[in-house]
Amino acid sequence: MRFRRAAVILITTLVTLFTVTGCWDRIEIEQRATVLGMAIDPPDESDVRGVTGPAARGEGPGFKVTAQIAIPGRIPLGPGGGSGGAASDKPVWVIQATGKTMDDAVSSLQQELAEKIFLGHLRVIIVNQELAKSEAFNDIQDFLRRNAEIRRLAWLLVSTGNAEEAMNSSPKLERVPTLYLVNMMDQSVKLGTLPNVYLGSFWSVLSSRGQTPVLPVISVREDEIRTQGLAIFHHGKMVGTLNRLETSTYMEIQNERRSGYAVAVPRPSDPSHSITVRGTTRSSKRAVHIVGGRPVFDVYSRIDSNIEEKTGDKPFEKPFETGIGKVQDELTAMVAQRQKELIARVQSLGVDIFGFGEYVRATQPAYWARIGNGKQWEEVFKTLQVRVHPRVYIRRSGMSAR
Amino acid sequence: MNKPKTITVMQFAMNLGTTIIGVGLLAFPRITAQHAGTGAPLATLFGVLLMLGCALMLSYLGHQYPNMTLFEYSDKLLGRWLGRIVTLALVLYFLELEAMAAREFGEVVVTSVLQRTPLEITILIMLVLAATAARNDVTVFSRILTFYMPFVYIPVLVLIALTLRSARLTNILPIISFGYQTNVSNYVYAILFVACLFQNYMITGLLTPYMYQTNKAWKGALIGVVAAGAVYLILDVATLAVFGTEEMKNLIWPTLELAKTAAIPLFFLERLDPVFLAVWVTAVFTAIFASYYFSIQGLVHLFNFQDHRAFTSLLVPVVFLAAMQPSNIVDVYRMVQWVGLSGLVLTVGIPALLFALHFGTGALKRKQVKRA
Repeated sequence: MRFRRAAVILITTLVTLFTVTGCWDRIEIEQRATVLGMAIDPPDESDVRGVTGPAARGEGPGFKVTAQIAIPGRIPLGPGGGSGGAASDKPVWVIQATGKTMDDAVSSLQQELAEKIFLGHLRVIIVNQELAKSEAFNDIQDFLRRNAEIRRLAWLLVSTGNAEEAMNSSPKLERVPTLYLVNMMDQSVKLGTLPNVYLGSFWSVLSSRGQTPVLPVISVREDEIRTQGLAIFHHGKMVGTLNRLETSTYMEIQNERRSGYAVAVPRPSDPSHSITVRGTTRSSKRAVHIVGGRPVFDVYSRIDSNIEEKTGDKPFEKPFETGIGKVQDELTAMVAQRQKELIARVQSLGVDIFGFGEYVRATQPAYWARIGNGKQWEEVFKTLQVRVHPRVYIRRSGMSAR
Repeated sequence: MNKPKTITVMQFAMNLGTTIIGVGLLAFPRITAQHAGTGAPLATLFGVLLMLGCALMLSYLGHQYPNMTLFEYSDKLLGRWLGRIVTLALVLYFLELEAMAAREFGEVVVTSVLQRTPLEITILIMLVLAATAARNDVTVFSRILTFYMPFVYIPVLVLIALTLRSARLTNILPIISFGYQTNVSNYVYAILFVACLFQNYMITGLLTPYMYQTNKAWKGALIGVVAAGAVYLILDVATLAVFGTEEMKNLIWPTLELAKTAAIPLFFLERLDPVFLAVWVTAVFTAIFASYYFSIQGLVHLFNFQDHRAFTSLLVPVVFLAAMQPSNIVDVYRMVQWVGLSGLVLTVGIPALLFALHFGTGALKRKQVKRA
């Protein structure tokens, strides 16, 4: 009995000793290189050094990956914290490597680091538009999809100009450049100037057959980063951009509730001056009918807005009550014109950024099956009849009564 | 052998509800979407109804033989030899089911969280844990499953609530994909695959003789299977609404990807997938534990043992070797689907057979009585 007890204790001790020594995957925070942002550019010269062997090849010459790595202990926690730190203590470190493929480049990046690269906190991925326009964009997607650490909520952005500059920029309001960029994008969504298209939603739309994705575009020039609008894609390759006003129109049709764009119309009584209104909320509905074996769309959108500015000395269109109506009509006509133009433009490119195809798939399954489960949708979309019925309402006029 | 009556109806319902939710939670939206397109939620519903029927049959039999386990009354209904063959088939099948669940679990863990931990270790730890827990008697077995119920259900529902923000209605339409995106055989495949996820309902046959009120066992089975079915259904709708069918086909574990899309507006909990995985381990454990326990009780019955503890550690190496059989991830899912679907012959066939025999012999007896 006594022996048995001793034996049990011994075995338990030994088993615990060998199994509780630690976790296989234990990594201290100092031992991991946390990448916050990543910029992907085409390489400068054709001579690209990779590390995964001579067989590494893909579309195009390869990639130049610039990563922004957080330095543990130097990231200020909370607003205003860390004011004691000297200005020279940059909280991030920017490193760069090239490779024939994405993994080639990231492996090469790893060779510059003692710590293991960790992509679990990657918040922003910026892709140079030259890459986004080439087949190489697909190769970038595959790398990102396969990696289990990458979050679907990260931002995927297209940059005009060199993406790496965004990693090197030093905004004044935030010590970590990537976090500033993230904040900028989040705020744009809140202000209603950009739709919420993050990495995961981009992928979902990319794989669907009845819609083509869009991505935010930023321009980088030295320290100045600006949101520009949206990039549009055809078969996974960027084929063009929507400017800010087109983005606004896109969001009207897409039923993005928050509206943040200001638009100016000539004054009905005085065309040499203008009235500027800013949208507050939008809503939109769409309906599809099959007419003569082809789908016809009706898009009903409503925009609520406030008057922000008028130029010219004259008081607001008199009388105030009907004057508002006149301005509304003017705005409505203009919005209708813009919607028509944008739809015609993307139709000529054959990119269904509005997801009309998805709507057809969802509501007219028989028709969808007839066009090869969406295989011929692009052709149908090019000549699709879309009737727009926008309505702009002016709700408030600010603090001014005239 | 006299069996202590300790399990209440609610407890029985909770046991079923906990044990049905298992490792399949992560991959099943992909497999149903591949075969049924946007009709996947409806196919899930049909799968749930099929297994609900089976669970109701077993609980009815449990009431007819209130002091016998499934193995005991199958001996009685089928005769000793046929009964033994059926028991042996069930034992082997549930061991293989456990092995597949453990392997799938290991693959997820190694791919997504513990990338440097060997696969063998994750699987072995899970098996040893199940084997250790399986040393208890049926009363405790039932209590363990009851205890884990909230840990399995609440996180899944929270996860879904947090991801609904990125859901889109058009993604789940049309609800009836039949004839448009899929054909009959694919649709049936999706239904049967969902049914596979529910095979652990067989513990009904183990638990009924320990219930206070076997006449209400059907109620417990109804609540348990419907609750688990609701989780699967809601999850299928949620993944479909967020990703859409085409994207779902690209994702190896859509549910895990859903967890990666979820975000709480609290900075320290920004990444939700490790939290979800940690809880999901509980669900995997209860499922593996239940199927292991079921096999062991079957073996005890087969060899007329008094005590089941001898088997618990003995079978770990067997299950471990079975789990290590598939050579890669593609192989794993081929086997999971193959094993699951062929197992339906047992898990649907046996209750139906016993049910039919029960009525058949009953009618026969009445006839004989009349003649005499």
